[in-house]
Amino acid sequence: MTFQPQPGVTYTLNSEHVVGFKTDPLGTSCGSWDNGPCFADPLGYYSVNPIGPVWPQMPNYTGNTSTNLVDVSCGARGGTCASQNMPVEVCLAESGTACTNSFNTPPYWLLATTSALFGLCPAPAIASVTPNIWFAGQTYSVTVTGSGFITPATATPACPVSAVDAQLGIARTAISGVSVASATQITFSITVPDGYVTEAAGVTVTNSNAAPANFAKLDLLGLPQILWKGNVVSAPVTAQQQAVVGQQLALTTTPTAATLAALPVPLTFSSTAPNTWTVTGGTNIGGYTATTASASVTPMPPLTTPNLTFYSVYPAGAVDLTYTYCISGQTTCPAATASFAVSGGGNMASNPFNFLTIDQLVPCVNGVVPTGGGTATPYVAYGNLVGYSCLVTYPPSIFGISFTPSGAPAGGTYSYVQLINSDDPWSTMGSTKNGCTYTIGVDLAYPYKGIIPGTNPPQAEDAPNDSLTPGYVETRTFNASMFLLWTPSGSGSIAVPIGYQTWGSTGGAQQEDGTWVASIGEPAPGPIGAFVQSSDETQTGPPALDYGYPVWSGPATCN
Amino acid sequence: MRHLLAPALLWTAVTAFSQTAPFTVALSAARAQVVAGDPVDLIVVMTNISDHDVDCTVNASNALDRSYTYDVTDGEGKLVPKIEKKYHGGSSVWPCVLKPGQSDTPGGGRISVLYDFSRPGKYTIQVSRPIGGDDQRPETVGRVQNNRAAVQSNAIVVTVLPKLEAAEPK
Repeated sequence: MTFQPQPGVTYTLNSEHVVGFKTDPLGTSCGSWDNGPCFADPLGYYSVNPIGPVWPQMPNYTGNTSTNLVDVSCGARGGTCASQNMPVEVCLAESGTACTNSFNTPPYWLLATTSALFGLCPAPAIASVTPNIWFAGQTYSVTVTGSGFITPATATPACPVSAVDAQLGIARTAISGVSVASATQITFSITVPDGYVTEAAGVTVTNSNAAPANFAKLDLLGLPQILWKGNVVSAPVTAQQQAVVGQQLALTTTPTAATLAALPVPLTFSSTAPNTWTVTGGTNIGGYTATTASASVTPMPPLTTPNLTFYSVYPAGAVDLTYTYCISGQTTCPAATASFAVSGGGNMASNPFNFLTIDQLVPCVNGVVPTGGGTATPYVAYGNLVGYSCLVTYPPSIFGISFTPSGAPAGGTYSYVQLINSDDPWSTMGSTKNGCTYTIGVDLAYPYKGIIPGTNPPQAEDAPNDSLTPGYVETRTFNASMFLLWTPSGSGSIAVPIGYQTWGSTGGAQQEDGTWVASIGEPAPGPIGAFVQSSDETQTGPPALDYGYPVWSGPATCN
Repeated sequence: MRHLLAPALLWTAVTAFSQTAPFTVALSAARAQVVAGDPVDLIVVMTNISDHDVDCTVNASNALDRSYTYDVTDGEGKLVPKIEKKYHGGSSVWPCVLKPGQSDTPGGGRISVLYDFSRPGKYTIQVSRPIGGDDQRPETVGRVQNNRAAVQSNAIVVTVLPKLEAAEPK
């Protein structure tokens, strides 16, 4: 029957009945967890405060110093009752916006009972739960010790056998083989499903509906999670993640050391079996640092930390990762896996001029175009240059060689770096030979500055030239490798090598009957060999490579 | 009276120029402190602060951009002589245009190929870039000459330590 208490009226229960407060209006089903309450409370009796005086005391959730009350809309989960915005869930722990551990307010509250029917049962008290660390995916035989447990032998209609309940996260989980062996020991078996994150779990022992239950908290260690850009990318996520070469793969994991320390049974990562990553597939590095002064590749960082940041340099169908963590004092080490498909690539075409020419350029004075125009003098150039020795006019100047990129994914940026492999110039007149000794290195600066104005994507060029001194024979053997790099957009990205083209300019000029004549040596000016697609290659060079990256220790000089 | 007017006129000219310079030049050292014998590398970044395109041609020769004029003085304020070389060296001239507001990629180069930094001490370095024709507009540098004004960079100090001192732990 439905009983509607009225304000200011005292009611006495004389018959063997119980007066309860059914939180759901009859005939309705609220949308809260476990059909929890979603109802009007005209008398203001309702309370979910564990220490509230009005209603039966809530279970004792040891260690909780605060709770969050969650309103659940009555329309959730197919609910049909009218929403009164009553709090229905006490959230004990949150992760982000999700409640990861909670209990629900009972849908049924006792108002009054007769002692004949609902005599007080002994209050159960849990002293320990063994084991108190549960790993997801494992099956445990659990022993609960304590006092006040009601065995089949001591059970009465009013005080039936103690009930045992296990809660993982926000859900009660099936247990089996429950045996209340004595007033001080209960055993049961539980298989912890996969899919739980690391959080608190609980075991509740209840002696009938009149006595307060007793609750013991313990640790649930879920499978680790691998997160990328704030999203879980490990199982149960099965989709392979899409990345591009050079994109920062900054991976974090759960649980963290802080998470473990905050568990009911505080835990730490094992110091003897550290967290480990395995990375298979792809060419992976920790970073690439390049300035004019030097360039180097940072190998993969230690694979023994909870977080891992690295870069995949070349396209790969699958870069597979496994992360494993171990807990101090535990032998079970949960693992998570994730996989990335890395796309990228590209190409670089060279456009060589193939000739040395004698060009008339106006010499600059201290690097400056001379006032009043000046007088042109001869230069030998790889290409065909017009203008000044410090300022060529383009067009109509023709560069010795130019390079055009293509094929990289959209959204990134091309850049170049040129390494001078050799440069051997000589000015010879009789027994007088003037030259220099070269050191290999980067051509002036990183990144390469010889970008043809107005080109998009940027095209690189070079047109080395030498001034000609009457009476001298000028020769020069020049060999360089032009590297094409590509940097994806996005924070933390690094440049990756696409490939390189080695080229050279061998030849010189001498006067014949007072006229300067250019001559070409071997190999002829232009590309030397084919374009080399970068790959995981390390060589001292020249050009020097590490993981296929160009590396150097300063600019090339000729002194 | 003429002697008094000359500095004032010069001050006026410099002020007017600084207000109309089409670009800036920022100078830094790759390493502010080196050991004698180590190379001294400069990083020069040019920024177009005008409302039009600016020429930023690079004249690369022996690891140094010769589009800039480099002034190096020692601890006593004396100009450091250039290193004399019999071989003039080749070069590459790379045309370059900066759009308004744009900065060039780092340039400059190895100043120690041009100046002798073998003596320990403090060296003050400043670079400048002449403003060409039509306020450095591309393709006008050779046609129109301004009054040879140049944009000065900030000055930096590079300390060269003796080899022995650097090798001893402190």
